[in-house]
Amino acid sequence: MPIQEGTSIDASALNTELGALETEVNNITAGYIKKNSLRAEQIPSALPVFGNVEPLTGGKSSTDTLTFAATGSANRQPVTGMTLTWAGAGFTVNSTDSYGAKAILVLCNIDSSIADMGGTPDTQVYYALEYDDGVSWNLISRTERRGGGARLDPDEYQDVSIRTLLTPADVTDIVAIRLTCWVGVTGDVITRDGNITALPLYCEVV
Amino acid sequence: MPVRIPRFRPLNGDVVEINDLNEVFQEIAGDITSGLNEHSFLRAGFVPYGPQPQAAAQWERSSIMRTHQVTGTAGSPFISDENAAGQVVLELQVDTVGAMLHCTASFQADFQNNGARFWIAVNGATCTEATIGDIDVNGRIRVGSRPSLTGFAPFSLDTVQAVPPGTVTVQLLLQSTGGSVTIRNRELFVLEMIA
Repeated sequence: MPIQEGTSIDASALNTELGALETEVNNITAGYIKKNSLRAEQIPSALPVFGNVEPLTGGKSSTDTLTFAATGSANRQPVTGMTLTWAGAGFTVNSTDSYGAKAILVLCNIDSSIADMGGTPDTQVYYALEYDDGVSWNLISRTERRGGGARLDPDEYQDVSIRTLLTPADVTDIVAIRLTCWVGVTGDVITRDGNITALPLYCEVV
Repeated sequence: MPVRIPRFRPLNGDVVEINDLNEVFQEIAGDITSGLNEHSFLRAGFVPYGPQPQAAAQWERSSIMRTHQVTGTAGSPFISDENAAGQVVLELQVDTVGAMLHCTASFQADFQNNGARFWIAVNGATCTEATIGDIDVNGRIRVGSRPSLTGFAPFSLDTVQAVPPGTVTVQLLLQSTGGSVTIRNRELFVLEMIA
């Protein structure tokens, strides 16, 4: 704002004018910035890589056997090679942090079969994701996937895929994520190749 | 970190001298520049954008991605009967400024003697489709293809679509080949990315 003609220019008047300018500058939000006026290094990355926040991927190319003497999710076991752990104390999925992760995209595939279950018609294998919040492992119930049933012969393999988007409504502090397995009938579950990826995202959760 | 403009010091008893003014304004310019640099997404050279932007357009300049998600209650069944048109299992409305939409659906299907087709549709147009049951897959997933038996299978479908500005409808649809199919632990999410 221009200083008006005839205005007495003294320290007080200048402080008033420049104080208003200071306020204006500090109140500029990203929403006022014209599209394409920012350079790549000025835009936050969609995949934050700082501190302990980073994309993780892993998996296995081996055949492993999980032996279950008891059924149900309370007796679930982690699948060998299907755990991802962030460094240190992990991070917070924080919806108020300007530059932190606000969601985690998780992609998981596993190839498994039921073995040594006596051909029980209703034999089922269950998979689900869990996260470690630094205190304990927590089941993410909506990621439960069930394979098997009468269709799956004991020597037959089945591909199980899980996709989920974790937001602050699901998890706040996270240190690790993994795939777990349980059964409807006691016996062995053989897992073959599998992979798991977790991508912390800097994004707006709508 | 906010920009800080130093207070004017008394200028020789409020007598303004050009050299003093120049010095102070140079300080201000330096502070604004360094302050903007510390904003990380702002720098000298930015163009103020006004008037007040519309809500749908606000996010495009501060982030390059938004997520949208809808889920069913974990474990709760969604049951579909035969429906030639396809029954909506989950639906999202995305108010976009124009973006690439990465749409993913993931769920558990319990077949009850029946085959089924699943697909993701964006604005009613089929984008991706999976069929199970009445097909000869000769092995891994043979659920639903034999009578009087029950089978279970997990599904994940993905598609990427470029969409124009406006409201976009993303749906997960199910069509059984006859009789009921139960869906559990269903989730549909969209990653909305500015290209």
